[in-house]
Amino acid sequence: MSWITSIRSQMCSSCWAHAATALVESMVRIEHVLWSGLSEGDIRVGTGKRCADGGNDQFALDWVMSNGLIDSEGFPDTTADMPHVTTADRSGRTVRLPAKYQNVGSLADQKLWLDAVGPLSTYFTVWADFSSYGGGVYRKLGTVSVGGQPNFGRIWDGRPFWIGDFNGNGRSDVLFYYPGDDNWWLGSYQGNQFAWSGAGNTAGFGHGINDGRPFWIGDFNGNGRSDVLFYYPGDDNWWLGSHDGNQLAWSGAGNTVGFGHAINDGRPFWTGRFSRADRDEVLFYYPGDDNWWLGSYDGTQLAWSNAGNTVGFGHAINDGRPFWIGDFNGNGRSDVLFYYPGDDNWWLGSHDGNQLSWSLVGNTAGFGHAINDGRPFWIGRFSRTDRDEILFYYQEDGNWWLGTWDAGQLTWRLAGNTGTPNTIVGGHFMLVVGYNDPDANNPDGYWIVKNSWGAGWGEGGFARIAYGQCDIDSSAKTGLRGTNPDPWTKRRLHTGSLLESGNGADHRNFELISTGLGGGPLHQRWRDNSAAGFPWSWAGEFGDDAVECPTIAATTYNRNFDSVHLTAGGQLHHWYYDQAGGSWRDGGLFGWGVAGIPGFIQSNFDTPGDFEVVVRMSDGRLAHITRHNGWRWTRQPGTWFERSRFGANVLSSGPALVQARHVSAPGEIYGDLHTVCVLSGGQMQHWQLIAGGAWQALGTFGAGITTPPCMIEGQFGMADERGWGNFELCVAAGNQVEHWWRANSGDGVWRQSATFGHDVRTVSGLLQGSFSYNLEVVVCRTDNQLQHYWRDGAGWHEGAVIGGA
Amino acid sequence: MIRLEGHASAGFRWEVVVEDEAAAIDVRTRTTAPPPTPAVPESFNVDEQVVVVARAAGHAVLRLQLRRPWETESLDERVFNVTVSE
Repeated sequence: MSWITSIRSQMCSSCWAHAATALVESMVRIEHVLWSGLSEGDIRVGTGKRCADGGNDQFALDWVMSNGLIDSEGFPDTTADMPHVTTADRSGRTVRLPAKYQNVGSLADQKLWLDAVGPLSTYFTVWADFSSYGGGVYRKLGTVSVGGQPNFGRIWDGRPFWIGDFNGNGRSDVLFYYPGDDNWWLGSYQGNQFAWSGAGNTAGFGHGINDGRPFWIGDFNGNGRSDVLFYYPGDDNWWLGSHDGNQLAWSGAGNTVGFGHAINDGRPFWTGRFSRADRDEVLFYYPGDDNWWLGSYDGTQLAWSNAGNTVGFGHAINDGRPFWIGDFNGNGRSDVLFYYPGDDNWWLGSHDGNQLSWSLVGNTAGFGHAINDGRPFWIGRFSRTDRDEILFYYQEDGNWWLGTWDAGQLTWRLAGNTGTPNTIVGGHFMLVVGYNDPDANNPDGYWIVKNSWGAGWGEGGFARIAYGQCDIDSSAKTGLRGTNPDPWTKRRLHTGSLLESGNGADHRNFELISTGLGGGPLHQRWRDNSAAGFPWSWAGEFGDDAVECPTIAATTYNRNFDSVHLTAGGQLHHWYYDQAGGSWRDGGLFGWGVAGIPGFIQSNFDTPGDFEVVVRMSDGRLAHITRHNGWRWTRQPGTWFERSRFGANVLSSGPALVQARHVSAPGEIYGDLHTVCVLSGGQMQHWQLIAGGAWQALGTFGAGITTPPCMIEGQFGMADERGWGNFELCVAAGNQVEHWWRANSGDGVWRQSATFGHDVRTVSGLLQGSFSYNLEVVVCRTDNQLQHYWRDGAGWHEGAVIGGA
Repeated sequence: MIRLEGHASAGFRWEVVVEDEAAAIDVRTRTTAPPPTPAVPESFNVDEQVVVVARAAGHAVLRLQLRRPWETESLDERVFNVTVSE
């Protein structure tokens, strides 16, 4: 059974109100099996908070404890900063929280609470990457993407980078290999930054091939673009990777086992155009015999030739400071560029024919002092084809900076970002609805949370967050028990002489009003649904003119019980139990020529909602009678008037009037009215009224019926609070009860599911209450006794004989 | 520098789009420091900052949209015309 209401989309900074509302809705669902759609805006505006204001879940729940929480129709969520003005009948259409919420502190207690009680609201620190969460177990990232560029994370982690014109566009590219997944990525400067594309995968060479084997870059095959060459000491094979426009295509480039096994033993290797002008070559020096060997690619493999011997000869000297070689000024000759960390000056030495002439070409103190801190620098023709440039990547902000010599100075440009540091961007509240402890597929364990960012975010609006992430476990989570839902939310779930009120320790007592054969006063009983054995008790009596059991409703008038019954004089009599005064009050007579048991509900036409009655009249037709109750003031409030008369050959009406959740009228909020009557031929007839229209007969079903039917819209068939539940109907026939149901969200066909009971004269009341999905029925027996029946997953059960009607 | 009121606790972030002569400016974004965490946590949003640096002469249009990354509609939009002179 689902107990999570639909995903909402907060447009204000009112996550705290959303989490509190979601918590209340879920606990109403768990404790009362009742779908409710409550208003986050009621809390936010009611607490005096502006749309941009923060708060927390317990602040919200404290307010709800004092003020209740109204449904989303009574006060729709809003972004407006406005006075808190709700409907006049607020006291009767708000969920109440009689008990204080609880701090649930330890992780073990939180899991126990989720197992045994319900969800928990929680604080969560929002990092920048959380809004981009698309599924899986969330762990905050180290970096986030910027400007539509890929988020590679903090990539200066030891993975290899190379520079070369791999795609042959005349400019240098950046190539890197990621051993985590063996993917190769190529960054080519386009427009004003690097554009990154996948350049293949070498998992076929084995995982993590940057294992110390040597890699070189050069145009080894002379096709005008740089290639990647590597030597594998495991088998002494050489492999050449050449970019084909989309990715690196790899081919064998020979074997050097003849030089001995594993020649990458520390001897130096260089690449360059040593003997040919049309392609790069590989040169290595072997200190064992001081021989120099030159490898030149002949189109198939590297052809090796001896390039001399330098026994007793020196080698290149380097003092450790950063030097780079390239044709930086584009004069066709190589220059020497160095950076001095002492003052962050950059100097360029360009040969003038006689000596190196040095000039100051810039200062990078703006990047910070002593930037030769281990960050990588590369030389290449990245954005221009006429000169070399210097490129560096800064791990701390993910930026790539490109320096180009222009008019005597190095000009630095931001050349993209491959992941800027993730930062805290907010504090948030959500609802924890489950958890999953570590297992083989999930080494860390995670919470399952319901967010309020719409169903398009995350996993249908939900997320899995690894334990301990983003302060989710840093403070106690908040749990709730003892919700007391309002009669407005329950209004479709009961009919006839039976309803479930908010009375009792568990706020789920049954209330029953009846009269015996021959009529007279009305008798009130109640069942204590918080006590063992669920005992029935006598509460008193009122009135003296009832012909049959009344139809009652708990209404938004301060949760009063309102009762309408047929009198011997052919009228309807309205009584109501005044919750404030604790007594029944006479609401007066209305209607003439009434000849049936009334269907009676409170609808959402106007505010407070009008009372609607549909009843058989003495002319064999049905009358729709309304008491106008409030706003829109189309009539004097409290006035009963007949709206319409419809049908023909009606034998019997009953407490079978429902305002469905389903709205057929375009652009309206008014659910369709449905009723079922019994025709003189013994069939039941289903009628529908769409707001603004006239009553329409939808069809007939059943046979041999003569007694008043009872009908509710239950919660079977509802995926959440927005769904349209099935109709459930019970009617006496042949001294038994027939149960019928209609799949309102399905084919709309009436089906009989069961026949049960004995000695049944009439079905007096029907409800779906807080006991799982059970249906509860009270019948008047032929011996004038009231008897309870109930249905659970195993079928219908005979309950207690309550007493004389 | 342009300072923008954050809305991250509702999933919204400021997105920067540079149009027209985008090469005229470099744009970087950053966020302000979060407030100290109180004993009882409260929701909050940090402000976002857009730093605009002139790069070359020209005219660029800086469009700032407050939107959720997974949605197409924006909740708010600010447009700045930026002219960089020699």
